[in-house]
Amino acid sequence: MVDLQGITFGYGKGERLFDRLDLGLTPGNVYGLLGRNGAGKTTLLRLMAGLLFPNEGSAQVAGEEVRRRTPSFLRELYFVPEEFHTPALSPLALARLYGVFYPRFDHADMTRCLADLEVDPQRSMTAMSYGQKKKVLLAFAVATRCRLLILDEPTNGLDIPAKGQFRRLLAGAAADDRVIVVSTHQVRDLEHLIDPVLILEQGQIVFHHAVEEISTALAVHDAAAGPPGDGEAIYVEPGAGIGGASAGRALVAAARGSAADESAIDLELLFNSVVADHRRVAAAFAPFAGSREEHDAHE
Amino acid sequence: MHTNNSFSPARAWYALRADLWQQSRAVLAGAGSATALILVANVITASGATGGGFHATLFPLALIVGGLLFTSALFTDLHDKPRAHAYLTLPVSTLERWTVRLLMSTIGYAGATLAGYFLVALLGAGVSELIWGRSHGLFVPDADAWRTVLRYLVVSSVFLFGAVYFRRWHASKVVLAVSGVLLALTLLAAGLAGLLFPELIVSIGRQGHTMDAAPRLTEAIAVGAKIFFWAVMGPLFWFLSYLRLREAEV
Repeated sequence: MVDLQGITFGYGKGERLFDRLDLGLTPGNVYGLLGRNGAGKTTLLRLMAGLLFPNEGSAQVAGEEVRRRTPSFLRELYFVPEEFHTPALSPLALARLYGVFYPRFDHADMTRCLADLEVDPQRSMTAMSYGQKKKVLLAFAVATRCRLLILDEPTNGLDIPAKGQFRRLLAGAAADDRVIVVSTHQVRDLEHLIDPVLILEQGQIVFHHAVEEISTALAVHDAAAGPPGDGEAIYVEPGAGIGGASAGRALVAAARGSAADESAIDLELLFNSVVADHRRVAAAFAPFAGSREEHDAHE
Repeated sequence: MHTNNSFSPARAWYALRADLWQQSRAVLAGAGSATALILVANVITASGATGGGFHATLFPLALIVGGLLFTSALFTDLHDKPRAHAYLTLPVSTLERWTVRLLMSTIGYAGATLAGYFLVALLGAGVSELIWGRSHGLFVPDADAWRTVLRYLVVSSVFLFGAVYFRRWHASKVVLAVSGVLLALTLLAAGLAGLLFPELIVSIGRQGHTMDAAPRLTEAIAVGAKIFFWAVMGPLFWFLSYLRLREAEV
């Protein structure tokens, strides 16, 4: 549904942030977009939403060129940015005033989401905290029932209970005809929710795999169980704690058909491995490329 | 389901309603201050009122100065990243987005000022009669007032373009830019006149000097300037502001 092809983009006349970047996103997934600070995650989301225009290449959503910002595209898009503005309205007034722009807007859904997130629907947003305002926007985003939902650092500013509420909200919002893109640094907040994982590094998507593929191709090796075998470790993380008191962990390639199949993967470890050397991580997926193609053909 | 991506009156109305609602506090605060100021000025100066000069001075001031400041501030949300996100992703077409702001700047502001000024003048006249036994009278828009409205509609188009184009200090930058263009045109005209009519330039300052050396040309320039002002300037800057809005990014 989201199709970015040959995107080249840079701010002003400076260095290019993206150089011929390609990315395709299909409905029914909650994409987790990860990347270092300054990697261009927010810029990529803005390009996807037609808020920035590429210097070269095309950005399309459902076959429409996003830079045209047509109503038929915009009514299927809701973008919750990291820094946002909320009008001086109550959540219910917001729904009444802006829900009309979205053909499938569900007021009952909005009320339910607000209740789940423990937000007073009658209270003016000017009297709300940053986290509460964000909850209102998230509830509105879900209620629009649009097909492309973009969330930039959605858990920033949410308190601990709200993060759990948000995870439930997002899990409920996932649908077969919807693409949800979540850009986040807080991988632990959304670890069991995002699938597939996208990692942006040096102007390219260097990692794009479903969690199932990751669990099949990679495994976490606990150093407490002894060092990984020669050449087996893709990335070794030093031990945490004062003076490296605890044992470290390593990301290793899982042998095909071994007991390591479908092991749980720590996204933080995966991310560190990819940004350290994405080619080594990619090599671990090579043995599974055939089975992936078979799987795709079957799908 | 087919979606009209060009212009839908219903969507434009929803956008206008949302805009008015969002800006209602700022607009009410501005209108309240202006009303109080005009009312006080009306009542204070009414003791020496002799004719209709008060309204002939203050109405153009309220319309043009207030309107140009209002127009200049119309697109502040476009230049503020968090607000621009919401503004540019609102499901309306660029034409609808632009039409809403154009209506607010032109018909909306001029109509509200005419109606508002009429009410303030009525109130001022009532209070002044009670206090001083005389007043500036009611405000009934005459031909001059309507000409002022037309002039405002044209001039505001430049400020509308400035509001879309400049990120901040919109009004000041428009005034500076227009002054710069006028200065450049003056210098260009003087240069051309020097080349085409050297005897005219030499005679400037001498006794008996006249600018009627080329009356047809002078007349043609004056007519051209009028045509440009009344027929070209408004549509040109409205169109330029539309193009700029279409290409706006966060």
